[in-house]
Amino acid sequence: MVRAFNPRTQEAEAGGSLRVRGYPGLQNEFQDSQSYTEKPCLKKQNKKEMWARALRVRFPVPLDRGRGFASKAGPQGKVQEVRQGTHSPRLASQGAGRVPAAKIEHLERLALVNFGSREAVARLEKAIAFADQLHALDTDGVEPLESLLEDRCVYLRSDNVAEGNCTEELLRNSHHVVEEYFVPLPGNVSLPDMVNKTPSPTAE
Amino acid sequence: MEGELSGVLNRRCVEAAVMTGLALNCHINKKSLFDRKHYFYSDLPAGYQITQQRLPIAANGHLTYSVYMGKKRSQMTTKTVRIKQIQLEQDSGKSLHDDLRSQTLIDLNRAGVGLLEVVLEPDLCCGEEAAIAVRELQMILQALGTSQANMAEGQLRVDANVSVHHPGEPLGVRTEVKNLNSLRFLAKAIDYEIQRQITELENGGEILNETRSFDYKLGCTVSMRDKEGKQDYRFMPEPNLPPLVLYDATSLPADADSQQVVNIDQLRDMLPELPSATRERLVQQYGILPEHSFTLLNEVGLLEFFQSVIKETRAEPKRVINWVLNTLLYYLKQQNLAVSESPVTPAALAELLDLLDSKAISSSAAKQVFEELWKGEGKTAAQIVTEQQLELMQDREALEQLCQAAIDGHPQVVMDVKNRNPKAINKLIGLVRRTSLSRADPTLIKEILERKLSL
Repeated sequence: MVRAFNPRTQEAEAGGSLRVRGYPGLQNEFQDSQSYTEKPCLKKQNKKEMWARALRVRFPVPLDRGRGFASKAGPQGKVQEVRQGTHSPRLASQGAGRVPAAKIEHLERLALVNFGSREAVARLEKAIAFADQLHALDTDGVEPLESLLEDRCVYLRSDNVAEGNCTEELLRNSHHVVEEYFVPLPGNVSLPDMVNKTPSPTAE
Repeated sequence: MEGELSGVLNRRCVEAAVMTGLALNCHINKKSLFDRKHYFYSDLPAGYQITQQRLPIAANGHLTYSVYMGKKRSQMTTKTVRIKQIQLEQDSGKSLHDDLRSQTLIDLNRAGVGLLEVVLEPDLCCGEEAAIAVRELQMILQALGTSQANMAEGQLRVDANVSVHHPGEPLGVRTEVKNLNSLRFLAKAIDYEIQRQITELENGGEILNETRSFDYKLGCTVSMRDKEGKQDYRFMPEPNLPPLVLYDATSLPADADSQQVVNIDQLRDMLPELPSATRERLVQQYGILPEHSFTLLNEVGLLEFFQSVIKETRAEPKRVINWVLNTLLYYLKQQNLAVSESPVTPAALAELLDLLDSKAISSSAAKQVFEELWKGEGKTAAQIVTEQQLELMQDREALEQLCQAAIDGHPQVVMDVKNRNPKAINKLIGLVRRTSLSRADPTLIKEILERKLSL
């Protein structure tokens, strides 16, 4: 199974935890002082404003499968926000939805993940159902939180070379090297040169 | 320094992006965002590329370029291609295909280095237009110092999206053509692909939305399509990069750290002269035609050559431009040489033009001298003139005698001249030139002949 993800950001696997802004209790994995202390931004943030905004999306009860929700139940069904430019398949799940086999294959190719067993697929379906609980939330007029860094500005560094010249050290990372080039597993090549096709990701 | 969670961006990249956006008449977004574009390829070790898909740094601009139409390519029209957006992104590594051992070799030196992607709208109609537009973009980037934009070295990479449709109908299915490492191949590949698509459709086939590679040896595009079908890049906001915030004179915070502040207005004031302005200035400054100006900028090194000659010669700019474009450039093109490889130096040409200007030699003699200089044997123009005895006759009387001799020796031609046959006088002039061993100024010969024949 091959996967690539940054361990510091939202987790990619099924059943990952949910992060909610303004609810420190749920943020144990993300506990760092940076989110709620002085931001080294150019404009000083009004703390009261920030909290006021956050409270509007507050859950009446902690999210947990099996428990009921309070008051507002938003529309269930399709994923609300569509990212521009992506052609991601809409995984519409109705209740305990099944993900069709073709979709599973597609996901496997995209993510190079091996859903080798029926249990793995079931776990995926449960994860989707779990995440679908978000639709219970009324987010009208609330901008999505895309990053905890949204109130900051990216730090600009000066155009100076500070490191480098570590060719040997870097090449040592790979066991297959040819004349200072890394040699990967065979992959995409243009058709006329086709000698090795992409191996099936499920054939591990 | 803060930022265990936060990534860091090179300031020079931002400045380059803003200046390029301004030069291309774009709207600069004071706040832009970063995203991750996921796909698997061996030259992308992280499995994703950071880019600006949702909200790029600049958008909605245009690039103006000139096309020369007509048989003699003398009619100039201005065309525009719209710029959809300019985005900052990370470069991937470079892959080389080792066909011998059926493996791919990966060079990661450039992986992660910042680059700018300029996205054009489909306003271009053929390979030639695309090449001219990209050439203009190349010159703008070079003038700005954003990039040296050398296509052969991969400093400027171009992927062409090509589709065909009947007039009035919506755009057809497009293919993406890659592996274009020169303007010539860019034009060739686009024209090939247009024709391929037309032929395919006319034969009742369909165009697949696929990626094709340009095979420069065969002069055709080849499908690179693999079985996976359309890519799903699963764009997501880049969690490690906060928004990029830019300022202008009105929004500049008072107590800001100048290292952290990029001021759009300040950068706008620092914009250098762009090619279009340079071309106009040359027309005004030297009294040359717009087409001349266009060629001077279009050929690498030609403007510098021209200006060096101007500096060292007494001759008029109009004469200099004539020799630079019609003689020097002609010779260079004949032998497929770059200006930097010219065997004739600016100094040599300047000396030649001085001789011509002072009427020490005739223009036909000057052409002979140029031919000799082109051999690159190190002789100066003056030396060649002496060696080949090309100096113009200074003896007016001797010339008059030659003219008289020609008149006396060719009564039939004289008759034709007197009968107002327009070609006859040239024949007579030619005769005198021959007897004078091309050492007489044809205009002077004509003048003498006409006087003698009382015309």
